[in-house]
Amino acid sequence: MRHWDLFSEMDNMKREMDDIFRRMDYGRRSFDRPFFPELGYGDIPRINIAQDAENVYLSALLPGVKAEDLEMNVLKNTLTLTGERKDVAAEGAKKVFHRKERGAGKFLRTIELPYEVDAAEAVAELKNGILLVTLPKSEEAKPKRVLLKA
Amino acid sequence: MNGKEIANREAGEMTKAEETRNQKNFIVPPVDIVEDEEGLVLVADMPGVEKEGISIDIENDILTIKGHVTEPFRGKGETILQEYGTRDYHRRFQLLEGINQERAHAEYNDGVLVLRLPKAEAAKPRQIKIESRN
Repeated sequence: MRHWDLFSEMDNMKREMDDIFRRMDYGRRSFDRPFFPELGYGDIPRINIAQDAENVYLSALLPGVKAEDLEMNVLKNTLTLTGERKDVAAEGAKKVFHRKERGAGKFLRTIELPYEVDAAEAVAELKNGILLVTLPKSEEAKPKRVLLKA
Repeated sequence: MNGKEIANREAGEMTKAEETRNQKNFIVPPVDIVEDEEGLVLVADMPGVEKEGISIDIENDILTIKGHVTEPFRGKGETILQEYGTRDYHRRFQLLEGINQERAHAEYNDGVLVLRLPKAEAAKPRQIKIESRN
């Protein structure tokens, strides 16, 4: 039997709370502010994950992030995205901001994938501000059909 | 010229005029609007759009930005986590006087639209030198 661990319980609770807040946002404004909404707003970048029998598909919203400013690491089933978005609007002198809704700066996000993936075979592409990653599931994670004897 | 006078104001009433176009079906892209001596620069985050899918119109001083989203991963596999939606972009602004609309030009790179709206000559700041004879 696993003994009760205060720290992992607290960790779980935090995760659940985060989940609740994220879901509350979901219907209201989370779609309206695609990138760097405000500090402490939640996880940046925002991602979608899909899967089929062979692959896990991950896409992340990264407008204004250049490929050379982005780094992606995969270890087992953990994917880490780090990078920086530069503030193009603020470059140069003598400027007046009338609106400032876009954020800028560094980000780091660790994503736990629901399956173990084969990192060596992963394909990633940064296109029109969206990062598209195709991660083949590792052999162990693929569904296997068990033949039944008649 | 005071920066405020030339500032873009969002066309609040304009959205009312088009009630069939429900705001909920669109994403309002976040923008930065910066003014310098040359004019206004509008920067909008519009990831997932092809250059051809963007339209920028200025009509009766109303600037309309639209973008059609084509995400290649849409519909691939079964979704297990969705944190962002893929809907088209739509946003309007009221342009005040002093913008040279003919010379506006735009660029789209890495999911970010940069629209430059140069000031009309009359609206540019002019320094007047004061001379004295002694």
